[in-house]
Amino acid sequence: MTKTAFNSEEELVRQLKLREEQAFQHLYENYSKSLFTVICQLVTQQDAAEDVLQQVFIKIWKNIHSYDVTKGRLFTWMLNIARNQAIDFTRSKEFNKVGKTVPLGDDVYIDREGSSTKPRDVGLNKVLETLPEESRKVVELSFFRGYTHQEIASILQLPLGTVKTKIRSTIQELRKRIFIKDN
Amino acid sequence: MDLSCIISSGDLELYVLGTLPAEDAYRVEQLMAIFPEVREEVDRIGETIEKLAIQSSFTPSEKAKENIFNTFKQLNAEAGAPSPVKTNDIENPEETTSTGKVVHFRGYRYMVAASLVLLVVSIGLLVALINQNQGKEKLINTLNQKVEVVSNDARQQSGAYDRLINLLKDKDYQQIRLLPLPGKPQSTVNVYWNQKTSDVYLLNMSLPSAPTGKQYQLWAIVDGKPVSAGMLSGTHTTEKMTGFEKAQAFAITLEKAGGSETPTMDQMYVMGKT
Repeated sequence: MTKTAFNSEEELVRQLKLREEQAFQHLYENYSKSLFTVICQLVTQQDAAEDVLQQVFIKIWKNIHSYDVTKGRLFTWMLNIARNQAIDFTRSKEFNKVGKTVPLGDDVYIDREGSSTKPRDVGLNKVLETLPEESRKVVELSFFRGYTHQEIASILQLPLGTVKTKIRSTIQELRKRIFIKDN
Repeated sequence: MDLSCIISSGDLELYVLGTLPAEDAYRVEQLMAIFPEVREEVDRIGETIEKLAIQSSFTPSEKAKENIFNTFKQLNAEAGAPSPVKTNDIENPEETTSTGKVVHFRGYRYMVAASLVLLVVSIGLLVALINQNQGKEKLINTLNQKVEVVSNDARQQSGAYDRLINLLKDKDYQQIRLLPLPGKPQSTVNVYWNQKTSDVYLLNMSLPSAPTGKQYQLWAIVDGKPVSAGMLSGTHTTEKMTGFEKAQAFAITLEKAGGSETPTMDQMYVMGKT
């Protein structure tokens, strides 16, 4: 299939709103992997994660009219849909049947004291692994698991303000590293 | 304006991550609409997160893709091709109909009616007084003057009313509803803007009266920079303000009487995008 180039995100969004298949092809080719990664942070079983991905794309298809370009990037909007869909799945009966997934309540960071500090391979950009452990945890919990900073503060036993500052400084650091890598 | 405290607060990151409380998120959206710097920062944060997820080792199977596109085909068949009318609706979901305008008319009607009642009552009193005592010319003169004032008010009032009707009828005038910012009182303030002639009118129905020494100031956001569009003289008026050829938004702040050079952000009461 020929890949259509979209000059701008706005043009892509306009065509998505018209439900043009080409636009959705473009969307899938460019974003499915990232969204799938986000889902796999919570749903580790491939089939189940693919089901969630399908639900996510249907949601995007159905709700694209409510996406407002002035409120942020398209990816960010989709990321939130993917994360919420994955969280919903982990709360469903189906999830309990699948069984092989990481239990959300017993978070890896709470009950593995004294275990190896080697970063768990979450399949994310390698840049993440070069970060200090605390920053890496903050990134995983906030970006990919959708925890609020209050929740992160109680999981990591840190003051609220520190978590907020940490999220910001970690994104700054990542931005710097990704930028250097790209050049 | 110093935006560094907004940018470094950590709120923009939480906004992008979707974990900021709704009210704070609304504030961020308003700021993004006014200041391109804020929007840029939000975009950069989003980009970083996007880049982070992009080089991952997780890949959905071809089968998953097939399923998704088959579902799209089904959904498309069920829905039929979207009509252009529908897309228009979708693109402006928040645009309100004329119901808002009706409320404003009613406000003016009451005022005109109240003025007229006053006028009639005054004339009645005057007539009664003339009949009762023709010697009290002084009083009659005073009352005459009052009648004059009241009827002048009524005339002005209906003048303002006519002007508003003309604005509403004129298709070249775009109505922009300025909405209250979080923590500010609910109020009805509209800007009527004619882009062809650059004319800007402001209808202020219900901003709380400005405290002594303070005055409301209208701002036009032009290329991301706030530019003063003049001071408001009162409520229940349609005022002609400084004209603008282009503006992305209009906003009102409470400033010291006579106005300020730059808007005081935490004193912003209402804002609306054009």
